[in-house]
Amino acid sequence: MTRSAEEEARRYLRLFPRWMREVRGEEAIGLVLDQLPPDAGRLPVRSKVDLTRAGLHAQRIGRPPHKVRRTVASASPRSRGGTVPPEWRPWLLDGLHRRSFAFTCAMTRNWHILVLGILWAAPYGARSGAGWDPWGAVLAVGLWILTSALAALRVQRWRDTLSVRNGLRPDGSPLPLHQTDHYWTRAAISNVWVLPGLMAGAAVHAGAAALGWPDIGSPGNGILAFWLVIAALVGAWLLGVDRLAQERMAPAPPASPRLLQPAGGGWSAGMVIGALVGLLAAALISWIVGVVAGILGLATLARWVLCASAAIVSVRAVEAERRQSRRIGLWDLFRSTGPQIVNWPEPLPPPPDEQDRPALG
Amino acid sequence: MREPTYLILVALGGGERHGYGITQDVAVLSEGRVSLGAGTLYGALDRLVDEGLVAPTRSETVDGRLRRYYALTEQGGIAVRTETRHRLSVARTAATQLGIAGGLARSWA
Repeated sequence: MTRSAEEEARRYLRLFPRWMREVRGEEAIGLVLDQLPPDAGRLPVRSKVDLTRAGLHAQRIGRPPHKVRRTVASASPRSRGGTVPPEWRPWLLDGLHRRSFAFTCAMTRNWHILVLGILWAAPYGARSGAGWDPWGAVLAVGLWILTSALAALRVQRWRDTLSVRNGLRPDGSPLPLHQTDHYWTRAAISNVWVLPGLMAGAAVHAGAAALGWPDIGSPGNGILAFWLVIAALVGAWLLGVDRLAQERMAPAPPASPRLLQPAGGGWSAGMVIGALVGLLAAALISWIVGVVAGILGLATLARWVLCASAAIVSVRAVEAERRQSRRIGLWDLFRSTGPQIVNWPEPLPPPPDEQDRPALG
Repeated sequence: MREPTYLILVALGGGERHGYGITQDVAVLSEGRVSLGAGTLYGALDRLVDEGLVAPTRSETVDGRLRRYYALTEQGGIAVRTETRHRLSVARTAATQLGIAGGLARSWA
């Protein structure tokens, strides 16, 4: 047996998922080399076929289901997501310290930016008669990648949240039991998708205006505007269904969760944002009416009001969220429907065997 | 339960084994019919560990190679005994039906 056989075995081992290589890689290499005849310089074909087949199989079964990937991607200190079933903890631990994992998770989390960006860009293509403007799609994809990259740059809170929700320190070792109480926000109305959608829309409109694309306000776009609103409603409903699936994955809360404090405060921020959202809705309605009725002046004016109010709402809401360290929503106007902070000790599975699941650093 | 999985559990029924030991035992148990490669063995072991039938016990380094030992858990012991009884029962009925093994088949009853 020579060193080349070992190098060859290590090359074939790359077919396995990374987290599986870290857990079983060295002992698998040891076994492959143990099975070689003493004078063998290369891996026999049989070993190569076995490693290839098992590696491809492991790739297939080593990828968690969509709902697990979604809950990891959408975990935040203010939501309940992020707890993964025990069998996927090694996968999670492997990914937590790779920035590429944070980036792909941010792309999964921000998919609505892509969809909404394309939806906002679609009317320009229709107006120019091309049916579909590729530059609008390019702008939407660019915005999607940019926002995901920015999210991946400030990733520490997301990592900490995932570690705590899975009973682990960031280095992969288990947390002491007294630190595993979880504080989560029970959101009555979820508006997490509204802000990114508004920002995507405002950015696409601003980009289009800067590039001198055709005016959106024209009678020909009336039907398109109608379908745009329908698509936005269907998208919001799908997001709600997806969020419900995430909530169901988390362990059920106790019958009477201990209420620590009602969220709220920031009435002034709520009033300002509420007024701006009202302006936004009025501008949207004016735009659709102007486009459908062929009143080009109204449609054009409404379009600019729409852009400006979307931008102002986005900026004001982000400012208010940062100041109050919580999500700002329409519930700020109706406090009784708002989220509540609940202390909820979660039943945790036994921590992974430290010898079997090495800590990642 | 597939045959390689069953044979791995039977091999571990004789006490803790490392990967190479398991492949040797499986070859003996199957009279050379089943020869486990590293990929197949660790794929199966990973699944059995996740199912709680097998657990790693200790590890050591021999000639610079990591060897991890595995053993049956209590649940694994129950599973392999149940499977063995089931296979015996099927084999006994089959032997009687086919007229092979003669009195031996009846004597198991």
